Amino acid sequence: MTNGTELTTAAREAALARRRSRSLILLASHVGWALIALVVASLIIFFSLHYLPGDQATIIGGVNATEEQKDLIRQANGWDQPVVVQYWTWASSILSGDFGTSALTGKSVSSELWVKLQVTLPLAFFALVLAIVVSFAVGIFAAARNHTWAGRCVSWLTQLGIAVPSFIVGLGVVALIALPTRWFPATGFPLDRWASPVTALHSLILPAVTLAIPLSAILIRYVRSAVLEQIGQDYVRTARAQGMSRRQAFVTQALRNASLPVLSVIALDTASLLLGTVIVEQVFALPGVGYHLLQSVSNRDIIMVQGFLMALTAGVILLMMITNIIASLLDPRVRLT
Amino acid sequence: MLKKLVSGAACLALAACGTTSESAVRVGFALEPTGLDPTVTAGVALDQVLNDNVYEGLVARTEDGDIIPRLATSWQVSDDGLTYVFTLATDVTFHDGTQFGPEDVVASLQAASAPDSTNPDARFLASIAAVEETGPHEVTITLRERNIDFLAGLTTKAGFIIPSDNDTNLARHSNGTGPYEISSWNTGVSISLSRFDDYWGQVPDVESVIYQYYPDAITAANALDAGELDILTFTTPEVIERFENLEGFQITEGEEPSTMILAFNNADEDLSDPRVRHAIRMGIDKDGLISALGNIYTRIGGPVTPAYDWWDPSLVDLDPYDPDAARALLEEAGATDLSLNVRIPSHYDQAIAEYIAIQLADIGIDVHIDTIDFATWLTEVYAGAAYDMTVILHVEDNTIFNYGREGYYWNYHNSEVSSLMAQASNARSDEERTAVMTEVARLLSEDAAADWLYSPGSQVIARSGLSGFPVDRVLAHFSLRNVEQAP
Repeated sequence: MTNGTELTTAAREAALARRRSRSLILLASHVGWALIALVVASLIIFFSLHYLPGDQATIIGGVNATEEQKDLIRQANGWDQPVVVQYWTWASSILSGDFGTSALTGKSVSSELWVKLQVTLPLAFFALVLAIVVSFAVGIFAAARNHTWAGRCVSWLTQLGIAVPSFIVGLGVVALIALPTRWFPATGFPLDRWASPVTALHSLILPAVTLAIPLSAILIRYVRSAVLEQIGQDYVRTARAQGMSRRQAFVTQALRNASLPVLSVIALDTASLLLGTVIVEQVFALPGVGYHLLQSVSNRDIIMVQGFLMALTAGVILLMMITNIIASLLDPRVRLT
Repeated sequence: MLKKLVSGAACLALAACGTTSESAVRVGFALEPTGLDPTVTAGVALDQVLNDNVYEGLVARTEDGDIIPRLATSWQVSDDGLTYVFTLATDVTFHDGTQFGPEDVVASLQAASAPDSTNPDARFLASIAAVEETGPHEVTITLRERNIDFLAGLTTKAGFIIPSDNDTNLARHSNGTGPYEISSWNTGVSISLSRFDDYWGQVPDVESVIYQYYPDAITAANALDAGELDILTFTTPEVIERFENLEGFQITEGEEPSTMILAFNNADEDLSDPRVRHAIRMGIDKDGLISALGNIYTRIGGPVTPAYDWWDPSLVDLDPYDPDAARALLEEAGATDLSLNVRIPSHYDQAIAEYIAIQLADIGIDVHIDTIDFATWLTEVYAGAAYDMTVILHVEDNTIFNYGREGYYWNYHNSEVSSLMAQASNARSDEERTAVMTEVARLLSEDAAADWLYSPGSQVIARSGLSGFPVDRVLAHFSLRNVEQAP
């Protein structure tokens, strides 16, 4: 504050204005980049799917449709227009919040997305929580028993967990748990979705376990090595010297520091987790986003695929933009210059 | 707190047992319809849901292929076979409550058979010249030419009767006269039908039917095993073996008009030579293929299966497996350095194409397998004829007629076959038609127009206590009105 008293009011005002405009420029550049990313994404999504082999009119009209019938279908859906016009129609209706309606099923993209996300998001979240809890517990155990047979056993099992593809894990889980015990459903999700949360959650347990197994296998190894690294550090020894018990030193010091690198790995693995839902949804016949996308691609329900991809991409871009803005506003280097 | 826990545990236990209510039947299928509107949506998957369950025609078809009365209680055909007079059922209501009458028949059939019709089955009614209301409960249909398959055409989607003043959105709801109506569609998962209690005929025993869709037979089999499914309509040899050893299930086997074929592009220079086609047929051991695929399929020697009246088992003796003779024939044709592609949709067992490639390599043909997804197959192979050979399952009835069709993707032209086909469709009796079609099937096989690998037949696995479900011809129809559950 001593600095401030030396400045005149005008200078202070000017500095404030500079800082404000800097923040505004920063904000504008983040928004600008997000907009550019959105436009580029929309171009890639629209055109790559537009030129995918496989004619939509043939799918709708069926194998016996005549050329005239297919032309009628194309006209009705505006597919006879030049491709640039089609892109413009598509992009401008998205701007007004309309992601389109499937020419095959007659269902709107946004309502389908909402329905499918109700399966995929809880499934991914459930699996992530499960993986984190398991990997911290087992990883710490493995680090503490580093040179015992139990620790080696864990390393072994994690290698297995990483190597086995998730559809095999899924089939195994069904054959070994669901069918013999009948404790969990082997397939499906309630038709009324979350109307009964217990039933819905119950049907997600085995899929989430399947999804969590490879993820835990990866995380356990990270937790183990991060903890091992921290245990060897000087500060842990200092903490012990200051009279903390082994457990106290471990929990209050080592674990906290070990969590940081593991958290960044978790953030990275969330993407592979979402990819994993595609396979797990197939094995358990769950009506999620990935399963629906796959089916829509094979049915050449192009409007549905374009809409899903665009909505999901836009969601990710907006989330990234918001986190970037918050991060840079909180960043002292940005605040003080 | 204790109470809460207890009720939670009860929920879990209930869910674990599955959610069966007394009269719901859940049926598992592989192929989901792409839409629900029968006037625009193609594909047999929609027929399995709608045909005779939700929508009805003037006549219906039994599992054996016989024509029986439905919305028409009786009909009379003129001697020249050109005029059909139908007497209509009375006291019939549509799902929206409107009364059924001759004007609905006229409107529906006129729309389906009009030149600008987008009905995927419109070609089955192409012979209609006029549809007229000729009495309070009577409709008269005039044909341009005699057509023995006309009544069968009325049992397709083109023959479904919807109200003349329909304002129901058929893509989302149903408005037919059938014993079931569509209550919901959860895309990718299931279509639920509920009983239409004002149904004019015999009201079905089962209150609701749920069509459940599965990405593969193993997932579906798991659902059946776990009590989440009651009837499974598609299987693999492994699945059948699994349920043969389980208590509480019945396995049925039935006939299917469908054929798995190795189609030739007859416009290809090499394949247009019948000697090359015969050599390929002789080079592929069909019995070996069927046994490699688990021995549940039927050997056929032409485009006809045991489901037809004109099935001729002696055709399997034509072009017997003989690699030496095949090599000699190729040499004679001067095709010693042949290289051909086999395009196969990705949802089929790829072992079929691999088996063919290995066997043809043995007679000196270099085969390149090209796996494509079905949408690409439809556009490139079916619509564009860009292929040499393709493995494909034809599930529709009377595929044989396509050998006489101009511009079909096989590019097969045989004037003798075409004229016999015309003769068959103008036949005056079933016997006459059967005689002609038997001849056509033999001609096609003798000319090696394709290689017919096998007929898949139909295998249905159902929970014990269920009866009245379809056993034959389940790939293109699945009538559920007679299903009953033992108490």
